Amino acid sequence: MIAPHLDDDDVPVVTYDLNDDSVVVIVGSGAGGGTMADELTRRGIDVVVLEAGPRFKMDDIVNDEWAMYDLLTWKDTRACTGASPIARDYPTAPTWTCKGLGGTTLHWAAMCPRGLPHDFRTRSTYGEVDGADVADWPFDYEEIEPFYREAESKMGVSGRGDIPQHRGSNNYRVMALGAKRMGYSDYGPNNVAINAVPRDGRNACDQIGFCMQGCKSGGKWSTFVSELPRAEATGRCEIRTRCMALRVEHDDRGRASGVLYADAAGRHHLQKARLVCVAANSIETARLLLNSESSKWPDGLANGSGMVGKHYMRHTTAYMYAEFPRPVRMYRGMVVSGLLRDEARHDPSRGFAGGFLFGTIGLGLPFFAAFLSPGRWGRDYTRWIEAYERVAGLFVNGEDMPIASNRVTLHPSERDEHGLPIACLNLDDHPNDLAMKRYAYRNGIALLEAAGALRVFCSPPLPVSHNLGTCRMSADPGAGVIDRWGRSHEVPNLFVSDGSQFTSSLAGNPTLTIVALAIRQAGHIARQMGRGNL
Amino acid sequence: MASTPDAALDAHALATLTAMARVLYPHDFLDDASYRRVVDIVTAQADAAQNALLAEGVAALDAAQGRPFVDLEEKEKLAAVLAVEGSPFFEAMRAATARHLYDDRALWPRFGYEGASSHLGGYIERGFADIDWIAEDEAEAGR
Repeated sequence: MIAPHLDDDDVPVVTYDLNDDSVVVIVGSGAGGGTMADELTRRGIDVVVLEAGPRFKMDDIVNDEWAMYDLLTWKDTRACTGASPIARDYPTAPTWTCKGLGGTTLHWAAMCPRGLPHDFRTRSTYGEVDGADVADWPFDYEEIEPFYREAESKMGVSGRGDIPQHRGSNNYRVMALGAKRMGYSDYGPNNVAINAVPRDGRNACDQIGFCMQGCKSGGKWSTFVSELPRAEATGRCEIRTRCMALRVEHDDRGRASGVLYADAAGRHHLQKARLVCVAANSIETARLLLNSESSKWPDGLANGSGMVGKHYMRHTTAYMYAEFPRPVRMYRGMVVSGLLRDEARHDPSRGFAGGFLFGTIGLGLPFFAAFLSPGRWGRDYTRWIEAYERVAGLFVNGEDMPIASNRVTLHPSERDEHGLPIACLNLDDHPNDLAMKRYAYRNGIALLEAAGALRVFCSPPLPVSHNLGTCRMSADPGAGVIDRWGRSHEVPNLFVSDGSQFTSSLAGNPTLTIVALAIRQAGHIARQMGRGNL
Repeated sequence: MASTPDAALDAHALATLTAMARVLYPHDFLDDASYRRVVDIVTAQADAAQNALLAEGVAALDAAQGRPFVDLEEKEKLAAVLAVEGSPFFEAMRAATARHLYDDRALWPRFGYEGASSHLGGYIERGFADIDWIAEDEAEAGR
């Protein structure tokens, strides 16, 4: 039977029968799932994409921070515990991801740092770290490097290869001045998947300042504007929006046989599959596998190792806002205009393992007032808000340690609209994370003061957009969930295709690596299918 | 935005909540109408339970210094708000004021925020790199 299309916005270019078990089912349409759809269809493979959210139109996108937060955000309730400030500030909404076609690429600020060679060999580089399960990835930087180049070309990363770079914004100039006076040497306009000139069917960036609100300018890469339309144009990709995956089913041989999902009306359907790629963002990917328990896998599909949901990572982050005597206007231009890489190295003399990036961040007034310090009020606080026009923003994105108890579990009693347990998330900071944060605050404050700051406000972390590691890659099947290709150690035709794969968090933002891994994984799947192995 | 008269919240209650919103996020250059707008949004979204919470909160503010909250000096108002800090009523008012006060487009120019820009062509030709106190050559990329 043909799946009913209840969402008027979906006009499928092709439809696949629910019983058609020749298709690859992709759960999720963000950086991982959207890239998989493009990379598999271009190799002649038929795919069905299940997206929990709607298909937005460009007309839905407006330059308004709260309106876009309300429209794009994945708002399903989570229960967050732990000592992290995120559990205190955002106990039921610890993450900031999107629900809609294109996933969190609708919201991302488009920073595209590569992982560094040591990021893939953390155990070999750092040695053992107490209280953390530091592990090498099953492959080295040299293996992913060509896929980084391919991803940068696909996404149009500015300043890479022959792709034109942007001019830095006002906020960038503040950071660069401070960096120069601090003696830093490796900084400049950020490498972003945002066009400085028209390219690949996308506009040039108009420096509108609303990267995280869907990019009305049309210059930012997202799977919504680039990968998914290309996949649909092949005639081999059916997208079903407002379709929430509930379970991945398996057959008697222990192979994934299909995905049970609820459509917009709440009706359940089972789409059969030759192969399943789960790319629902790290919390929902783990939750989906945990909810797919069976007599063969009583603790969740592909979870014989007990590792599904563990080692959740979200980066060590910090935000600093500095007041200057004269206007900065950080909201003008792209959100993350500048990047400083000097601190990305591993240098234990700083008192912690791993490294971090400094970048600029520019918020509009509504988000500045909300996120400068959630819960704060009174005249001391409003003096900062009154300084808004003269404020520059600096953020820190660094490695965080993989801890087994930082994990996604199923809630014992609370259920979502489909009757499934909601996700619980425990979030503690490792001493290494705290040492890195202290060092980053100290140097960030010094940088801003070197640029002439009158005073600096240290803000707590925002809700998490970089959700990583809950189905970690491992060479040893007992130490993780998936192998070097993202394939389940236990279910041969089940792949994980999003940031859940990360063995370590890397110092930098994850999307470029997610896309590079998806390009690499899709090539592997196509080769194995061609050989009759999948 | 017009407020809907509500049996649970009389004019005194609305005035008290308006004054509380100012204590939470005080800006001397804003008039009471800006804070009253926040209260109108809160009451428009309130159900019976929320109205009861607000009414109890108003009573607590009036009781805190032994005189109606709206008649208190600024210092006394602050003490009264501190007395309810952490309560569900306080948190509801604080969160709503933080969100809706600064989401008022009419106020954005007062804070130096220009808001939506894509309909004007963004800032690429309108000052995204016009900072006049840092020379461009001071901000050249390192390396």
